Amino acid sequence: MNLSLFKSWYSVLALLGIAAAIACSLVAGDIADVRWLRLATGWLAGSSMALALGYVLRKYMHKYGYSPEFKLKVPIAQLERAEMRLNELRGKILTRAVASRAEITAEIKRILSEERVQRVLAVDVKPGPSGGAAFVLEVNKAFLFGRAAKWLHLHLYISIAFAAFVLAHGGRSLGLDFGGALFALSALVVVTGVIGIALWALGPTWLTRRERDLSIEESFVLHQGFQGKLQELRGTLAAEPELAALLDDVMRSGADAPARTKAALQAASQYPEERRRMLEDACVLFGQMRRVEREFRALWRIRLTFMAWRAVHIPAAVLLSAAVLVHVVSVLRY
Amino acid sequence: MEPSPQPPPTAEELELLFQLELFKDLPKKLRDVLVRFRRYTPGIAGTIFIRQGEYTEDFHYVLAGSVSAFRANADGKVELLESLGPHEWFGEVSALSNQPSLATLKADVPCTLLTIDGSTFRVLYKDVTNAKFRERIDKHYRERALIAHMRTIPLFRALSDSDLARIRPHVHFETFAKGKVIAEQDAPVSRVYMVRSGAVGCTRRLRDGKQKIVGYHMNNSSFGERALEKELATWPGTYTALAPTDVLSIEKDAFGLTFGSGSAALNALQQAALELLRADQGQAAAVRGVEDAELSRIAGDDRIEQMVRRQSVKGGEALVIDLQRCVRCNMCVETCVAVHEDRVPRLSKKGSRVSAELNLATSCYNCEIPECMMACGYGAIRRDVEGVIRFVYDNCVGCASCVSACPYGVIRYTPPPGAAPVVPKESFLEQIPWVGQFFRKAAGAAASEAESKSAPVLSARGEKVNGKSIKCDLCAGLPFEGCVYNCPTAAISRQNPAALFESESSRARVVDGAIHDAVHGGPRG
Ligand code: SF4
Ligand code: SF4
Ligand code: SF4
Repeated sequence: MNLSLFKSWYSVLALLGIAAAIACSLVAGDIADVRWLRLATGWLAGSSMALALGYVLRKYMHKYGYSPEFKLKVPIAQLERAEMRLNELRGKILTRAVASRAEITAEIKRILSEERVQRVLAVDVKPGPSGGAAFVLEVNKAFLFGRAAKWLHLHLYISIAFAAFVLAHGGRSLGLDFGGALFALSALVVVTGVIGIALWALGPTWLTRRERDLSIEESFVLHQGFQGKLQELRGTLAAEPELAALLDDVMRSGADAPARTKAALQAASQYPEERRRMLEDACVLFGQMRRVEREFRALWRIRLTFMAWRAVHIPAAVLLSAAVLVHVVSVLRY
Repeated sequence: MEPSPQPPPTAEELELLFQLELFKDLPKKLRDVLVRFRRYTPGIAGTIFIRQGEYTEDFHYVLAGSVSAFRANADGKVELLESLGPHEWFGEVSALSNQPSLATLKADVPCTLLTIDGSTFRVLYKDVTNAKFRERIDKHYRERALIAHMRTIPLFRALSDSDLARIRPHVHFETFAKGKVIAEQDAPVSRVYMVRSGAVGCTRRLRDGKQKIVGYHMNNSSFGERALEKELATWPGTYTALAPTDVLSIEKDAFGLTFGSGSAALNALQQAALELLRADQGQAAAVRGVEDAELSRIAGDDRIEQMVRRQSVKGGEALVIDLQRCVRCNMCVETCVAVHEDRVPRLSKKGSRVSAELNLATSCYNCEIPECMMACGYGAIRRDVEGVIRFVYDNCVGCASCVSACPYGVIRYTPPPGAAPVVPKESFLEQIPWVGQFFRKAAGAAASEAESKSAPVLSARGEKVNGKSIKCDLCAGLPFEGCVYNCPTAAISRQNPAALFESESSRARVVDGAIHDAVHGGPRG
C-alpha cells in the first residue's frame, strides 16, 4: 500500500480549511448575514479550486508539451561549460584551495549564473567521504516548479479545504437551489477524488501481486504478437477453405474451446500432414492467445477498478468548474 | 573537443606521422583509421589537458613541449607524478578503462599534442594485427603509469612506492572476452587478479547443482586475495568476464619471492587481503559460512542474482519503478514523447523485474562500462564530465553497432528522413481529452501531414538525427527529467543499480546471518 500519497504538509491546509469552516458556522451563526465572511469564504473557495485545477493544468501542459518549463531549455554547450567549471571547482575543493561551504556555495552560484544555467541545474554541497574531499558536489536538475507528485498532494488537500469553504460559504441557506447543486457537485468531486486516492494507494499492490508472471504491458504486447501470427496462419490456411472454416469455428469458441478444438483436429485428420500440422499450430497458438488474453483482461479489470473513479470525478469536476464560473460571473455582474 | 573525421593530411605530415616510434608499425588499415580521426591539440604553458577525476577518453601523444602529471591526494596535498616530454603519451588508462582520470595533466611550456579519441585508440590497441602498438603501450604503462594505478587499488594501498616498484615486473596484463572463464571453482588459487576495466561475476555451484551468483567485481577491485591469506586456498566460485575485461594479475609466489616471507611488505599485503575478505562479508558469508542447502533456500527470490545475470549492476544510474506505487498511468512515457522533437519515447515501462516490487525500466543506465561506447567505431558515443553517456551525432553513421552492444536494449532509431514519427504530433485541438477525436484529420488528409513530418529531427544540440541511434538523454538542457518529474505518485526515480545491489547484498547478509544462527546456534566466527 502506498501511504506516501497521504503524507504531505499540505494536509495542514485541509485541516485549516475545515477548522475555518467550523469556526465560521460557530461564530457567525448564519453566514448569509455576515457579508464580508460570505465574500471571504467565497474567495477562499475560488482560490482553492484554482489551485486544485493547477495540478490538472500542469499535467496536461507537460503531457502535450506546452509547459512554459519547456521554454527554459538551454543549449548543451552552456551546460557543458558549467559542468566543466564545476569539475574545476571539485578540484579546488580537493586541494583545499576553496575550503568553506559558504565559499563553495558562492562559487557555484557564480558559475551557474555566468553560464546562465541556474534555472536548469541545482547543485547540492554535501559532506565528502572520510579521507576524501571535504565536500562533494551533486549536480541535479532544478525541478523548478515542483514534481507532479507534490502537486497531487496539493490537489488532494486543497480540494478538501475547498469543500469545507464551499460548505461555510453556503451556510444554512444551502437548499435545493443553485448553491445546493454547487455544494453537491463539490462533494461529489471531493468524495470521488478521495476514493480515487485510496484506490491509487491500494491498486498498484493488487495489480503487482497479480502480475507475477506477466505484466500488463507484456501481456498486451504478447497478445498482439499472437494475434498477428494467427492472422498470418489463417491467411495461409485460406487456400483450404474447409480447414480455414474449422479454424474459424475454433476461434469463435468460448468455454467449449477444448471440445471444439478436439473436434476440428479430428475432422482435419483426412488432410495431408503438412496442412493438418498448420491447423494444429494455429489451434495451439489460439489457446496461448486466449490464455494471455485472459491474463490481460484480469489485469485490465484490476487497473479499471482503480482507475474507474475518474469516469465520475473528471466529468463532475468539469461541471463543477463551469458552475463555479457561472456563479462567480453572476455574483460579480448582478 | 569531440572527435570527427579530419581533413586529409599532406604527404609530409603522413611521413612524419608514421616515423613516430609508436605508430611506425601500424598496418595499412589502421593507418587509415588513425589518419581519419587524428587531431592536433596545441596548448600554451599552463594549459590543462585533462583534469583529475574528469571523464575523458582521449589519448594524447606529445609531439613537442612537455606536460606534467599532478595528483591531488585525499589530504589535499598535490604531488608531481611525472613529466612527459616529446614522444611520450598519456590518457591510455582512461581510454581503455572509461575510468575518470587519475591525474591532472598540464603543459609546462607551449606544447603540441597528437590526440586520438578513445574509440579509435581502442581499435588500434585491440587489433590483433597490431601487436607492436599494444606492446609499446603496455610497456610504457608498466613503466610510467602502473604504480600510480596500483596505488588506487585497495589491496596495494598499504605498500610504499618502492615496494610497488619491486612487484611491478611480475604484473601480467590479460584480456578476457565477454563470457570467458577467468578462474574455475575449487581450483587452487594461484594468482591475484585486479580488474583494470570491465566486469567479473563470481558464480558458485551448489551441491544441488544450482548456480548462485555470489560476487561481482568491477574496475579497480581485486579477487584471489585469499592466496595471500593462506596456503592451498581454492577458488570459492567460478569467475567469468561479464563484459570485455582487462585484468592485471600477479602469481601468488611472486609476492613471497619479491618481499620474502615475514617481511613488513608481505605482512601489510596479507593484512589488506584479510580486511578485504572481511569487508566483503556478503560474499565471504555466502561462500564460506553458509551451507549449500541454506544458500539454495535463499537463492529463490534473489535480486542480486537477477541483477547480475541481467548485468544491471553495471549501470551507473537506472530508472527504477516502484510497482507498489506505480498506477500505470503512462505519464512517464507520454512526457518522454513530449520532450523530444522526434516523438520517440526513450523509455519503456516493461523493463525487467528485479524483485516483487521493483522494475528496472528500459532506459539508458549510463553504464560504468558503456558497451555501446566501446562498440562504436566512429567516436559517436562519449562520456561527459558528469559521467553521462552522450551521442555525438556528427560522427554517428547509423551503423547500429551500439544497438546490438547495449545489454539492456535501450538504444532506438529515429524515423529516417521523410518517415512519419512513431507517435504522430497532434494539433492542440486534437489533444484535448475526449473532445480531440472530433478534430482528428480524416485519413485522406494524413498524406499531406506525413509530408510535413519529413522535416529533419533535431537533437538537443541541433544536430540532424534522422535514421540515427537515440537513447535517453536525461532530457538534455531541460530543468527536469520528464519521466521522474511528472510521475504523479513519485513511483519512478533514478537510482544506482549497484546501490540497490549493495542494499540487497546487506539484506542477504542479514538473512545469511539469521539462518546461520538458527542452524549453528550462534554468530558466525
Ligand atoms: S546505451 Fe546501453 S550500454 Fe550504453 S550506457 Fe546506456 S544502457 Fe549502457
Ligand atoms: S530522463 Fe527524459 S529522456 Fe530519459 S527516459 Fe526520462 S523523460 Fe525520457
Ligand atoms: S508516471 Fe509513474 S505512476 Fe505513471 S506509469 Fe509512469 S511510473 Fe507509473
